Amino acid sequence: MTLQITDAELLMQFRTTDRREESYTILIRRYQERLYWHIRRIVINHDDANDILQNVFIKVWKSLDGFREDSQLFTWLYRIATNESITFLNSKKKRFYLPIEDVTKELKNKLTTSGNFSESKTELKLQEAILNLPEKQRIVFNLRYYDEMPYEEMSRVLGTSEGALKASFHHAVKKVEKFLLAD
Amino acid sequence: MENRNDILNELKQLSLFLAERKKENLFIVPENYFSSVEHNVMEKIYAESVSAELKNSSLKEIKKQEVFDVPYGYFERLPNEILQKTSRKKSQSILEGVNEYFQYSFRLTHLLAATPMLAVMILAILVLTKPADVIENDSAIAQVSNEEISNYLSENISSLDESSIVAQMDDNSISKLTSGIEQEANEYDELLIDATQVTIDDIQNL
Repeated sequence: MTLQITDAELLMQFRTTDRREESYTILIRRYQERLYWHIRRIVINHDDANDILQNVFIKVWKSLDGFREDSQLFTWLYRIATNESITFLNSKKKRFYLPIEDVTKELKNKLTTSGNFSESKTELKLQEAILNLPEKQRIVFNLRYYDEMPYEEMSRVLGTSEGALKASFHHAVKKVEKFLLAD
Repeated sequence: MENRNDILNELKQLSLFLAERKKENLFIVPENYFSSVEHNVMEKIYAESVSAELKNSSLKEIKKQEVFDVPYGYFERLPNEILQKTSRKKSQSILEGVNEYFQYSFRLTHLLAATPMLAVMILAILVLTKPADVIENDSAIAQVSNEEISNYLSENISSLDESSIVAQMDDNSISKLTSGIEQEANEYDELLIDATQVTIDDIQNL
């Protein structure tokens, strides 16, 4: 029953009652899977995705009182999750002095060596194709193809114009198709 | 805002291959992973808030808790114990004061009392030890009574030179004199000892 309350009601409950933890637990349950998959597609590895997801929820807990509701809660959560994931990848590059190509290589390597992946060869091929995309294009492709996110909402998440996002998605689709049909 | 069909139509226009392809999930998550996320997150939030509280709070804000233990009823007994000790010290200091007073006054009294006696004794020694011819020739002194000599000496004691008096005495006379003084001193000492045994009540009744 509590899961049926709207985001606005949940926020109100979080801010005005002594049931903050209860409200927040509902919020986690409501968004954890979608956020997890979004993060996982960016960082590939489950342990990294798990760490980032937890950090996202901790950050949200700290900032939820100040959330102005200009955008939907869902959009705001996606934006934090995207930023955290990109920060994670950037820190990896800085820590190991890796060029972006090597990070992509490492992510591809994780796809094939880590145990947390299905044995679907077509899906593996698609993931390899997506990993060949530049970072921003990769995120746009994932949000549009897997999460089926409207450009308007994606614009709020990524802070990019709808037109730029459309162009980015078109380029990404063409590159992926080319990679898949190459063999 | 676009709906799901709009998004699918766009994909069909861009790549029919991708639009018709069945979406599978390549990624696998550990079993029951999603049921543990909320617990792990809340645990971390709690740990961080406690740590932040400790960081932000100064020492005065931390709840003071005494880590040392005292014997049962210690603080109830403490005032009486202190009062007892202070009153005992007070009585001791009073006794010491009394003792000092008596010592000083006894010494003074002793000296004052001994002075005429000393004078008489010195005179007696001088007279007795004087050769007979001297005594005979010193008829003026012979006519003076002991009482008059004692009075004279008492009045003029300050002008008497002790060393010249002692020089007139032989060893035997000095020994007799000092033993007399020692005996008197012992008597006074006994008095002093009695005085130190005075109780607080005795002093208060003084």
